Amino acid sequence: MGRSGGSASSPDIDAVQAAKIVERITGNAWATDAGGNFIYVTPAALAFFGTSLESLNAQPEEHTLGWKHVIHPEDYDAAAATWRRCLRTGEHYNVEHRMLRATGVYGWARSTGQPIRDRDGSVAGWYGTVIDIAVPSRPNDCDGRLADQPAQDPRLSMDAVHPHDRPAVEQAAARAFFHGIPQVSSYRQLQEDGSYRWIEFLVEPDYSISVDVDPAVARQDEPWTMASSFGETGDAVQAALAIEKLYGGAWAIDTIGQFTYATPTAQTSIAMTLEDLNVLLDGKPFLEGGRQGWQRGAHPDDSERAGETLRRALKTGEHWNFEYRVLRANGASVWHRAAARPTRDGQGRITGWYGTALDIDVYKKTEAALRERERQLQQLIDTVPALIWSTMADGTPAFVNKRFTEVTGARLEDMTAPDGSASLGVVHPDDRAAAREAFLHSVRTGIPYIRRYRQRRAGGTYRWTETRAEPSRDEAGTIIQWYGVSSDIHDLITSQEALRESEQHLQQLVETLPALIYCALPNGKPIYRSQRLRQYLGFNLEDTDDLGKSRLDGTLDAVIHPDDLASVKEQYAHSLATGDPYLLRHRLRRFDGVYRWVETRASAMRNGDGEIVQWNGICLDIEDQVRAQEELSRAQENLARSSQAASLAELSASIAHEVNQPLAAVMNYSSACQRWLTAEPPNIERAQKTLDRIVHSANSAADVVSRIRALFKQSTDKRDSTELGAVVRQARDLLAEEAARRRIRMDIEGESGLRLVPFDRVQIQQVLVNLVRNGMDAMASVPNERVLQIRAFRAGDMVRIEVSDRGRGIQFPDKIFEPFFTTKDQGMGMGLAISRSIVEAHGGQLWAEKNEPHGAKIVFTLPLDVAKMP
Amino acid sequence: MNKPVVAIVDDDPRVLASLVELLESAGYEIRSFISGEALLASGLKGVDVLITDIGMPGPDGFELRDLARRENPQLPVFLVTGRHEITDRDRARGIGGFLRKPFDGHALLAAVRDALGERQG
Repeated sequence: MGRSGGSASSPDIDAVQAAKIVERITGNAWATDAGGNFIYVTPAALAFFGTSLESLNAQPEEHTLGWKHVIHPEDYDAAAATWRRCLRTGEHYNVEHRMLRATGVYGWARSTGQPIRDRDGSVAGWYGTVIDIAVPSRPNDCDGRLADQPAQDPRLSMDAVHPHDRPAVEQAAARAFFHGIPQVSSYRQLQEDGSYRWIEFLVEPDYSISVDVDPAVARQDEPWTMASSFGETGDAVQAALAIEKLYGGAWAIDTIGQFTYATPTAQTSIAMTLEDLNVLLDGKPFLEGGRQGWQRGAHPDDSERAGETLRRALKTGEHWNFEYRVLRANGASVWHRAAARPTRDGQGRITGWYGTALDIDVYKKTEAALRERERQLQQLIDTVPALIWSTMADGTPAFVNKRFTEVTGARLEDMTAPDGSASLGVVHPDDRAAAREAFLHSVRTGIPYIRRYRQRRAGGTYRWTETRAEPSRDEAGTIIQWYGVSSDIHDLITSQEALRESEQHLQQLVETLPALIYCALPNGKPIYRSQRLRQYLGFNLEDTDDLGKSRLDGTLDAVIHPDDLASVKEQYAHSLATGDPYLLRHRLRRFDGVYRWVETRASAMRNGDGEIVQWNGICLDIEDQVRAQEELSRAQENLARSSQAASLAELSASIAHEVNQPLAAVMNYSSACQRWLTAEPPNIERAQKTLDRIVHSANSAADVVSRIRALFKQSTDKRDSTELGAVVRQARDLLAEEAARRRIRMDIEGESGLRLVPFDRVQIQQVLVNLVRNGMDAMASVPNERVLQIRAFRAGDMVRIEVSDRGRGIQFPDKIFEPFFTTKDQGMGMGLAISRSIVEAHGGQLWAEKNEPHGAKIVFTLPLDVAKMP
Repeated sequence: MNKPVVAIVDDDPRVLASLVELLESAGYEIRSFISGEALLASGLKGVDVLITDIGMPGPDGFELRDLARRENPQLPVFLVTGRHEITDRDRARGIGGFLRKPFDGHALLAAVRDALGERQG
């Protein structure tokens, strides 16, 4: 094939062959006859789109293409129109549209095709391929202009392109549009002087630019191809030509790696001829590990492995797929994906290889950028302090971020129910049913999901969480996924709850306090009354508003006792004017008309600036307190009046007891005596003894009576003014004999001239005698010195008389003044009680103290007649 | 037949002696005690009737009655007091009775006899 313009010739293959060659490179392909009827589609592609050849070729209605059912309704018309035009004109077919997949989901795809022509140049069939694309490059532009546009810019200047190079330029432009990948190629451009100049140009999907090629690297005079014979590689070259038509570049090599064909533009872009490609750089055959010329066109870092992998493919027959950086003639390195497939003869022996290298530089860079972005996104998703998850369109859990698992302890599988649906396993059982219902509702309707519920933590506790999810939609508005985020709002919820509870508590507190509580504005207008106050008054705030006065005046006039009204108003006015606390006791009218005493206190509540924002007041019902005080006063008066009577009652009871004792004995003895006498025979002896005892007992009863009479003997000289010293001496004289007998010394010391207010001399003397006798009794059993001391001296307006002994002291200081309390065998326990009564009756006091160093000291006071004192 | 045993408690020795004389004249065997503690120290074994003063230091008559009843629920107990103000007859319920000084000796003897008869009959 010694022609230099290989690309211009038509390959001697049919559309199905071409499609199968393409399929081996891109994975899917199709072929139609000249009329557009499908004669081949890659079986896997048919399955992928859930269709069949018959179905694609069927014509359900007139003017409707069989493949309508796999194209999105919005895209079909444009695609069908383009396809019909291509069939008519032989233009390249290149359309982006959404295709319905077997899964029921539409996805964007680019469908490309081109005619294959027979030797006459008439279209013999079509072949092409379908490539999935994530997003259409120009979603609004699928009416076929795409097919025109790639060629448009170059075509405008196509006249300036060397006729030999025009197909290559067209191919490059088409490739750019097929794949959205910029293409670099070169061509000879017609100059004004009629000469041609090599131009390297870059074709972007939307535009193309051309630049002059440095003549130093462009070998303008080198031939396009050096292969003198295709040898066995005829099939491989044919295949390469078919691919070249679709991708703009292809090549064929023989079984030892020698190029027999390479698309001229591919050669020019790396500035290598076939000879350059095939040269053995170190004299060693390529298959034996030698370096071959084409490896110089690869980036040094990739060159070695490119060679190794191709060598292995050549040896084993495995397909060759390799990505490497191509070193362009202009020094740039551009990522390419190279692929090569073997051709075989009838015996299955490999006869050659055909392959292509697609420019994937942008893809690579985009992919790297995407990977980086994805990595960053993943990192972001895993490090943001939020629980993030996603589900499929139907709600099937698809992802939970790291934090989600750390916080809840649940992994993706834990969140997925056995049937694949969302388990909501971290939602509190009490909240789960409602949350699931809400989520499923969102999934059905596409309405964003928001829900608050308790969410389990890894430790087993639950925290209030707010979860929001939004659907992510594709261009067509179809939901692709749901993205959700769960935020911990526990503290917010609990603090809100606590606040609510606290408010409620406070409200309850105010409402239930046993007090009447109210609030008023700074000007005094009432704005709140507690329930108790409302009940007490029988009306509420607004009820006094229609009286033609301010609410405050209306209220005060209605509820304050008329006698208190003036002072209440005055006090209120003062407090409102000055901010001073308000405090007043007044009568407050109850709903039933009864006035009760209350104590009202109010104080100003101020804001941060010290301004009064409200008055808070409390009325305490003090009616009972007032009444109780009155009761108390009355009781105290009664007590004072009855105390004397009470002590007399005590006295009489005591005396009765003291008299009863011997009397009881007398009666017992009498009964006994009677029995002794009436016994058979009468016991005269016992009766006589009993009679003696009766007499004895009767005498002791008489003693008691006489002692009592002595104590209370009514003095004829009731109001005596004798000097106290005389009275004391008289008492001492009375007891002198007894004291001597009991070996007791009596010491008397006292001021002279102590004159008492008129008193009952006999009674006071009896008190003295009683106290002295007690003192003597107390010393009856003490071994040490028995001294009884009487002292009398002035203390202010009173005279103080002390009777001290040196006995064992007072054992029961609390009890000794109680009637009948006695520590003495023969005592009746009346002496101190009566003595105290007598002293108190004289306006004095009587009490006990400790004597020093030991013993007891009984002290009493009597009022002095100060006027008569010197 | 053994004489019934009457225990008498009174902190006033004069009254105690007179009660001993009275009950002896009726032919009872007497155990006399000057305090409740003395009675409790001696024990209630063999005692058929208890006569006790109410107002005494230490355990008073009521306490003594309750202690005795705990040991012998059927024991007739006669409480004696000189205090007019004690009118709490509820506290004096049960077998026995409540006597206010001065009381008729014959009445006491009759009551004792009835209590013993009731118990034995």
